[in-house]
Amino acid sequence: MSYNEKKSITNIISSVLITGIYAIIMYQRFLNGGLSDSNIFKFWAIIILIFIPISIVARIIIMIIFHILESIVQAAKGNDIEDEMDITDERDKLIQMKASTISMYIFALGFILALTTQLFNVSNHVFFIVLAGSGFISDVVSESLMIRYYKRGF
Amino acid sequence: MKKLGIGNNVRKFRFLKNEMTQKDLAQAVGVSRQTIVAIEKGQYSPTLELCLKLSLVFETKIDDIFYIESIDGVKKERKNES
Repeated sequence: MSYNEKKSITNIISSVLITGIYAIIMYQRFLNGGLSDSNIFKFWAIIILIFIPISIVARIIIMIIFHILESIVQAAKGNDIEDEMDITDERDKLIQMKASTISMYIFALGFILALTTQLFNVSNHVFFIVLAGSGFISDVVSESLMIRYYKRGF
Repeated sequence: MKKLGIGNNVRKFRFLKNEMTQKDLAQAVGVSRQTIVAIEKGQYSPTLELCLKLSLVFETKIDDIFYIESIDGVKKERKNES
């Protein structure tokens, strides 16, 4: 398995862990016991604005741990990992571009779905939950596609 | 539009070039070793820029390195190289 495939798997695991743990904490703290319809925008703004820095910091920490572990494993095998870490070549860029295009379509579909929910008699919270869900799914799909493209060459 | 199958002689030229390793070739043309592996397996068709870099490293023409293997899945006969 190549360095990029391992990096994508780490990204998926960190994405699932960070989003899952944050969702459980937020559910227990704010949503348990029913959703209030007052100040919905402020409520979701707080949830999302707190999530962004936490997610960035957690991902950085996880990637540092991944690099350390990968360096140790590759050094034990006698391989030089530095070469693969440093280079982002034309194939990497094409794979990233292809994966992010599909990921963007999924997010756009999620946005349309979130808007559609508002046509029915459901809470405005559903709009944000669907939006956040599609953001998470598009992220996981993007990384999964990258693994697939790296495995088959392009 | 016709679908082209592109073959290559990268592995052959690498061995002709003092048995150059994939890692050395990757460093010479500025890509990762995985990209060279994908090119040799025919899984990835490189850009013209990378093809030119490969031709510079192997000191040969691009069409000696890359060739049309099939058109719409039909194998294309190659002229014998001198």
